[in-house]
Amino acid sequence: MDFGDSPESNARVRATFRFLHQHRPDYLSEVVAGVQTLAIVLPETWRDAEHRARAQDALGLAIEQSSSMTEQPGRRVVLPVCYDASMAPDLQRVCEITGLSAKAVIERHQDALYEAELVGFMPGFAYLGGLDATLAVPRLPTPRPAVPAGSLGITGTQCAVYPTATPGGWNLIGRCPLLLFDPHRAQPALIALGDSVQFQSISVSEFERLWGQR
Amino acid sequence: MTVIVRQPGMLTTIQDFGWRNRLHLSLSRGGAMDSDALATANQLVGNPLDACGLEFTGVGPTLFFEESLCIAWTGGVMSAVMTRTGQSQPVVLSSHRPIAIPAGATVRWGAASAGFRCWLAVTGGFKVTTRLGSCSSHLAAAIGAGPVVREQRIAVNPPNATAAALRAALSERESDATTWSVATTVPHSWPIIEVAALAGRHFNQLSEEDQRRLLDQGWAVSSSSNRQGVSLKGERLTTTLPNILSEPVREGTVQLPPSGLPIVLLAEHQSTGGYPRVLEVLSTEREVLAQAGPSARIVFRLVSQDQADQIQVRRRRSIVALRDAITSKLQTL
Repeated sequence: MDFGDSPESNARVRATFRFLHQHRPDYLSEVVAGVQTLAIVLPETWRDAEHRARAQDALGLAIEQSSSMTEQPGRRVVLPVCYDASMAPDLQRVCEITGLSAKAVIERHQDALYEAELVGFMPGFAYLGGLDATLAVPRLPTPRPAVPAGSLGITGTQCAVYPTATPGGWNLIGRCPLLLFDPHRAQPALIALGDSVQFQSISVSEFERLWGQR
Repeated sequence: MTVIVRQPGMLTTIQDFGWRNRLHLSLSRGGAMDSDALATANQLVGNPLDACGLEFTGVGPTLFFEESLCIAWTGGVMSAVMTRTGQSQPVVLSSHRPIAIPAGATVRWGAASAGFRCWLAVTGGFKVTTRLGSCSSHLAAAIGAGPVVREQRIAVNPPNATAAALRAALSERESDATTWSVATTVPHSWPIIEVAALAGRHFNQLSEEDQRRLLDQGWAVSSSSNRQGVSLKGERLTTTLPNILSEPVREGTVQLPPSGLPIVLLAEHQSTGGYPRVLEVLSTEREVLAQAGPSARIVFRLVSQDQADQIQVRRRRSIVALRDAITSKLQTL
């Protein structure tokens, strides 16, 4: 389902996603949210023309119902992050592009309240919207083949924490010691779609202490 | 009881059926690239269909078996040689059938002569820590064990009654392997692999010329391909489609990045993607896509939704027929 190019689309996607997740109708095996789109996966037994038509009708109803519900606030997640220069290889580049001091960049990043607009790319990864407009920087011209696990990257209007050492093209300005995805946890992913996220600055020694607890 | 890895092969990983209903966690299915082939291998040795096995890629490993058990491997065409200290004659083993392996044997798998991947099942299945219910190695998400390494010891579960009986029956025969075998999943047209696909959301934005380029080519497989996706090589598509806001994608989505060279998403795909999507390969084609190695040529065949539905129905029936046929054959052992 494509919700189209309007500013409310993302919110509608998230409302529908939450609704479907809560109600778990029988035509739904899985539901995945995009930025302006939503996909449902039908169960094996629903994969013929008749069932598809029924599922589409039911989905249309669900979208209507969810849009009339009041927006539930997501959880608030606080992530410790160390902004020390040793963990912020692109901080200098961000300062140069924005004309701000390192202190200002860190303050403005930390002061914002972010929202998980999209969960994707890999387990534990959430695209967090709400980055201060003065911190808008383009991606790195060449992505790093492997960013350190837990790195905090910013680009455009978003920031995100890389759960593991994957290739990454975002500008790294800090590092979070927590395990963003732990399959053994009751809730494996720290950040869910729609959660509010706040960052809290920690020292290098505090980072090391928390990292050791992974 | 353990199996010891003497040589890891090109890329050998522990796999079962992977994860279901975890896309909201951005965790794609993973697991055996052709889970039906793993199920067949398991059925051949009397295991539950989703018991933990090994996936071989390109060149298989060399494994040492401490105790006697049955093995079977399916998928591509890959033969193996068995040796035992004290026995001068190495024995050639063939795929797609249950084989009784004696204690102390070493089995060395070679390169796939057709296809690219195989799935090995052993009596009892491998005993491995599970994460979120699966023993699989999801390399892209870094969940589960990494590829097997030299001298790694992999534990094996004690067999259930069916598997134990089968092992006993096979060991008592004159020949340790059955004379019958299951068919390989590598298509007769190998190295050409034809895959049926529906038009993707952005297919109609391609120029007619590009639509032809997409469908008429025998696309080659880039060496950067992996369990996340097959990167194709060939004549680039020239329509410049803008990147899209990230959308949920699926196994079988064919993306068109700015390079003009398509990517077919596979078992370890990312849950969302920002490239336009030009085709959606049917889920029935997983079996042949899993065999898309460096020598393969992929040809897309555009089908309608009705045709797709029929293909699905036919496929379900043939799997049921296969399971029934194997059950009957095993009963006669």
